[in-house]
Amino acid sequence: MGSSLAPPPKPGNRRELLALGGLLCLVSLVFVLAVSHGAVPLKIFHLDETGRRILFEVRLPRVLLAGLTGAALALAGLYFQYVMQNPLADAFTTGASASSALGAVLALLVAGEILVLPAALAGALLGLAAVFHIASLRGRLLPVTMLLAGIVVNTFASAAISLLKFLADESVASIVFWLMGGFQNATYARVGLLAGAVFASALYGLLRAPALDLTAFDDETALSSGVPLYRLRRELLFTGALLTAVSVAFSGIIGFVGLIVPHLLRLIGFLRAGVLVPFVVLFGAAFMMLADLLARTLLPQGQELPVGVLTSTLGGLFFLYLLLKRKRELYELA
Amino acid sequence: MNWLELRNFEVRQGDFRLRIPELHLSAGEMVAVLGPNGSGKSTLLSALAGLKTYRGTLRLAGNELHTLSERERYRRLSYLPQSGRLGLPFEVFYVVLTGRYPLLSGRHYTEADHRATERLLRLFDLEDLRHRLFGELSGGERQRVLLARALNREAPVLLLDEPFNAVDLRHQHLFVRHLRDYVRRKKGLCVTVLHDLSLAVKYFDRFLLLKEGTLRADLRRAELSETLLGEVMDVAVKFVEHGGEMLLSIDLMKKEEN
Amino acid sequence: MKRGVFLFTVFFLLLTGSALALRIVVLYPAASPILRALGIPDREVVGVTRHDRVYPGAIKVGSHLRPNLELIRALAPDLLIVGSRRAFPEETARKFSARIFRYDPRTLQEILTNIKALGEILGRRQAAEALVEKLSAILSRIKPLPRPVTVIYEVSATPLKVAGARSIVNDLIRVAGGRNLVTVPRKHVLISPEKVLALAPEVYIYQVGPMNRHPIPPKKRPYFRGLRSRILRVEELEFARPGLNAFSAALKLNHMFLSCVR
Repeated sequence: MGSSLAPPPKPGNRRELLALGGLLCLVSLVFVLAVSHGAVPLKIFHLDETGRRILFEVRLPRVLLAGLTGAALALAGLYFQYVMQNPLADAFTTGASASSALGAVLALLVAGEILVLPAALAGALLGLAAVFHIASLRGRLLPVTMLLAGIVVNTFASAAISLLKFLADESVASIVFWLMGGFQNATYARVGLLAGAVFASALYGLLRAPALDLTAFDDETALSSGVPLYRLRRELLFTGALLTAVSVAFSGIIGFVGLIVPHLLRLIGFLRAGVLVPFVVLFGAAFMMLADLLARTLLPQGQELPVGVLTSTLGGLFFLYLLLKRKRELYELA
Repeated sequence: MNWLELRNFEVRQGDFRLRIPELHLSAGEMVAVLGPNGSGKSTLLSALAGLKTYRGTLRLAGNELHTLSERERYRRLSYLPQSGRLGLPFEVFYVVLTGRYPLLSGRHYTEADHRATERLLRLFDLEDLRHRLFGELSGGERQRVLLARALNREAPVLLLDEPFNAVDLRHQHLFVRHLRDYVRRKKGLCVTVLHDLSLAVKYFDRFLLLKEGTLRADLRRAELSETLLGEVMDVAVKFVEHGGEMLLSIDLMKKEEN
Repeated sequence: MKRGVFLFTVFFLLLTGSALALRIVVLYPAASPILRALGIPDREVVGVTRHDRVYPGAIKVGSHLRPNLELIRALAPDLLIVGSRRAFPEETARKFSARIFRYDPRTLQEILTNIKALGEILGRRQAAEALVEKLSAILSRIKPLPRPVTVIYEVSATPLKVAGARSIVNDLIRVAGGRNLVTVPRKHVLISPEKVLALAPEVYIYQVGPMNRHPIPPKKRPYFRGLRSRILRVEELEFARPGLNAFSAALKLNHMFLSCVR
């Protein structure tokens, strides 16, 4: 058989291997940077007791969680893009993050921490189902309606969270946490769980890479190519929702990663799912580890910035760039 | 051999009903589907492609269509819908390559798939566009790419819905000649929805005239008549002999005013 | 002439009348116990914030950060006791003809100064002086420590926020004989857990209350397993509010610190 995950050699493959090597280097570099820098300077090779504890109990799980969250959100974004047949879809623009956070906040106020993860998943699925139903017309998904529906769900969920915030009065701080995102509560158990989710989801996509690409066509073309389109879409939607929910439950809303990461890779010219899935995971991880490193070190005296604020600022600027420079491409999607 | 067999075939879509009591389409035929807008041409094609629920019998190569697995079905037939869209960016080469998806045995396109794609790109003057993004192409170029994609499957049965939309004349003729050779070589079947009567008359040998969801006529080229064509298409048609070739003169029907 | 006398009488009556019965709206909950201690009767406090239970008869006029300005206006107050500029901006204050008293003490000393100032405004100087004396007496019971105990005070667990130099808690710790290791000039500081570990305070205080509903005890949190500090759990309403409670809280904290040093 010899059917490995790597495609058989063909022209153009060298470029992808080169890029894969480059990305692996980038991830390693950022990882080393993120582990060696932080609120407290550490001499990695001469650690005292406190230093060791800081490194292994605080910093390392946090860097890992950040990286995995980046990978999860980027992968979720990519999958939503296949479902919505639109490069503008991600956990943020489809409202999945906000509805997931709404679920998490509700669970937090009503039942406590135990129910946060299932509630986040339920929230994400409900939000996505709403967007999906609003945006589909006779079996076809309308990109513009999808974006509008995403905005509606996003706004509604955010407003509902604000309402809860208001009613809960002073326990606002922990709710605000869900709105801004952060990796403080990293544990190896969470790292393990998220790693499992990312690995399984990425494998799912890799095994179906050619079919994933075909979902980008109109339904008739995709169906008449023998792709089980509707089942595939449901599975992708669920996988994306799962990835979003786990990240939101662990680290709050962190916006735009799922939009920026696949888009940048597509801009460089990596367009096929077989390449995009692994690349998005690696690049998303590097991006988020870097963002969290900045959030941890920009301010003096061990102060932190909420990482979600950082990525959303970057995302906002990026969106602006899209609107200014790539108008044609945007409008042709409609 | 009959590639497609229809018996008591009926498709409902809202108020619209398409009915075909009996139809056999066999190997080596170039079939043009003609008719005015809303006569059910596209409905017929997408139903033949297995994308619509139908009543009655629809057989592909002797097998009831819905009993075939998707893979078996779409290895044998290739369908080009009227308005192909692509929501995400892909380069032209890859778009054409994806036409071979039902032929995949593993998870990856093989060397042979790549070679076949190269050949088609060369054949249809698409080599220069191979690295361009599909979304950046003009309407005619996109249509050519999608047509090449449909042919890349090398399926014996081709169902093409207005394949020459926005395609320039040179490429229309290039394509239709290729289709004719293809059908002969493969002993295949090509069912094409067309609006260009002269192109149809020049290259096709069987004509299905549809109007208001019913099959008005099923004719060989020799059986074509000015009155029948005119009646179905709602225009005045005149055949003109010129240098051994049949040309068509078309005018609007004069309506009597009361 | 007659008319002038009449107007003068009316003016005089109004003045004395308002001096006799003030209409006070308290928008900063920690100020209400002070008014009570100064002997302000129920009928004079006409409006309070949502969770203020010191004057149960008063009308609720929204929350501390989001007061209902229409309700306040309808109460026609003579005196508005408000919090920081963030909670009640100057611009909003200008819309009221009532006298504005800003109650935003950052130190225990400032609380005492504020009490005196309130006594002055409310015409209860003697009560104010007595109260200040009583509170100072509590402070005088604080025993000196051989050296300051190093402290970090957790405001909330998710996200991890601790008291900075601008918090009343900072002064409370100082008065009790401790030293807040977080010197960032803010009220609350979003801090990296690793920084807390590196600062290694002798005492780690975490508050429980509205800002920190159900915190996991610090030593049970994954990132604090390396924390060697002595953990103290305190009530937010008792420790983090700049009011009368702060003085007994300081004394309590002093006792805790003493047991740490010994």
